[in-house]
Amino acid sequence: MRIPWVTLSFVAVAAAAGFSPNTIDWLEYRQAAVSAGEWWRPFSAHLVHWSARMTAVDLGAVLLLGALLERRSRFTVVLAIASAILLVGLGLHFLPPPIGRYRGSSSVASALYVALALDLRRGSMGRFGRGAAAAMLALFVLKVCAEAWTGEAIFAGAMGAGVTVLPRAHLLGAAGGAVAWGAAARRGAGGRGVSVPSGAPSGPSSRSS
Amino acid sequence: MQSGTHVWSRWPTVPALLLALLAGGLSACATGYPRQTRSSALEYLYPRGASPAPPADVTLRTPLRIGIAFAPAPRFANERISATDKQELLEKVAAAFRGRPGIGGVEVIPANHLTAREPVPPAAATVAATIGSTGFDELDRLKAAFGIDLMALVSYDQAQFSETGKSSWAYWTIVGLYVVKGEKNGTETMLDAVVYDIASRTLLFNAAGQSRIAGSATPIDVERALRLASDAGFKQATDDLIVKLGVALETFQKQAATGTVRGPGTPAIALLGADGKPVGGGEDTSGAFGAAEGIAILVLALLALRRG
Repeated sequence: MRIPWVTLSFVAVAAAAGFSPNTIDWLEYRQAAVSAGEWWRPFSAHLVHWSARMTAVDLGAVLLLGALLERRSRFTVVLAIASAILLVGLGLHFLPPPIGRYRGSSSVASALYVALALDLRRGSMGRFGRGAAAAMLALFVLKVCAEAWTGEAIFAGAMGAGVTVLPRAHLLGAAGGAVAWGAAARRGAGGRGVSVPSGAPSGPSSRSS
Repeated sequence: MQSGTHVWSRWPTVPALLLALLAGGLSACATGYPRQTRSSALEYLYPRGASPAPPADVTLRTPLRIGIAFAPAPRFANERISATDKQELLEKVAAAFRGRPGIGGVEVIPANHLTAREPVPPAAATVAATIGSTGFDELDRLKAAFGIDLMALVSYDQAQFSETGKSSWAYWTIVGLYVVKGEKNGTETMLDAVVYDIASRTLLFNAAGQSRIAGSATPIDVERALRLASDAGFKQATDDLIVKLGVALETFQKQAATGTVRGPGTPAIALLGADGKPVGGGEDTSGAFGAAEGIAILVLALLALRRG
C-alpha cells in the first residue's frame, strides 16, 4: 500500500505549526504585513488555523482527500496543493474586497476534492460511479460558486470566534484543483509512463507517479 | 560617556554615597555629586515585590482616549519641579497630540490621583504582591474614572553637577540604563514617557526627551542659575519629548497595522474602529468546511475506495 507522504507531510507541518503562537504569528496572512514586505504570508496562511476544531476539520479533510488522491497519483496531489496555495494566496492579497487576516487549509482541501472528483469521473469506474463523481463535483462547484456570488457562506463550518467566511478561498482552491488535475492529465496523456485502462479516458489516475 | 548610550560604568562607591548624604545640606559645589530630582514609572508600576504582568494581546478601539500624568516621585522626595509646572508641561504634550488620527482625546491626570509608592521591605514583598498593590491597580481606577484607554506615564530625572568629570548621572528607564557624565554647573534632564494599554497592561511604545544645559563658568548666584537651568531643562526636554513621542507614535501605528505590538513574538494587537470592525485592514477570514463538505468528502471517499 502506498504511503501518502506528501499529504502526511503537509498535515504534519500544519499540525505542528498550530502548537506555537509565534509560528502562527509568522505564518498567517496579514494584509499590512504583506504590504510591508512579508511576502510569504499569503502562501503560508494555509498551514495555520483559527481554532483547534478548525484545525481538526480542515486537516482531517486534507488527510482523507489527499490520501485517496495520492494512492492514485502523487503528482496530482503535489500539483493540487501547490496550485491551491498559489492561486488562493494571490487571490487573498489582490482580489477585492481587502481582508485583514486569513488562516486555514480548507482551500487546499477544496483543491484536493475537485482533483479527486475529476479523477474519479474520468477513471475506470462504471457509469454509476462516474455519474456519482460528476454529481459530487457539480454540487461542490455550485456551492462554492454560489458562496462566491452572494458573499455568504452556505452551511458554514468550524471557524474561530469573530472569523468570517471568505468564499473566494474555496472557489480559487477548487480552480487550483481543476488546473492541477488538468496539468497532470496532460502530462499523463503525453505518454510518460502512463497506463490507460482499456475503454477509459486518459487522466492522472491512470499513471503512477 | 555620551548621553543616551546604555552602559554600566562609574557607579558611585558606597563611601562616596555616604559622603554625599552627609553633605546633603551643603551646596552641590562642595560635594561634587549631582543634585538630583526624579520620579520613575518603573517603580510606580512595578513596586518592589510586585509580580510583573505577563504580556497580553491588545485590542484597541479607536478613537482612543489617552491619559497622561507624571509618575509620582517617591514620598518625601525633594522635588525641584512644582505641581503647577508639571501640569503645564503635560498640557503642552497633550496639546501636541490632540486631534491626531485615531486619538479621541488626551486627558491630563492631576498629580494627586496617582499615589507615590514606598519601597517595600523584602519581608513584605510577598504580601504586597498578593494584595496586588501595583500601579496598574490605580490605572484601572483611573481608566474607569476618566474613561481613558491608554495611559502615558512620564518619568523625569534631572541632575545638576557642580564639578566636571567627578561624577556621572545614571538613569533607569523602562528599556534600559542611561549614564551621563556631569559637566560643571551643567543640568541634565531626561523625560521618559511610556504608553500602556491599561486593559492588557501591555507597553505599547515609549520615547525619551533629553536636555543638556551647559553651566555658566562664573555664575554670580549659583543657586539662582541652577534653578533657572532646571526650569529650562524641563522645558527643553519636554519639547524634545514631544518630537520623539510623535515619531514613536507613527512607528507604533505602522507596526500595529501588521498585527503585533513590536513584531513577531510580541503581543498581538487589533485596531478596531468605532463600529467594532478592524481599522484599515478588513476582517479576520478563513474558508469553512462544514457538514455539507463532510458528507461530500465521504461520498467521494466511498467512490474512490470502491474502485480501488
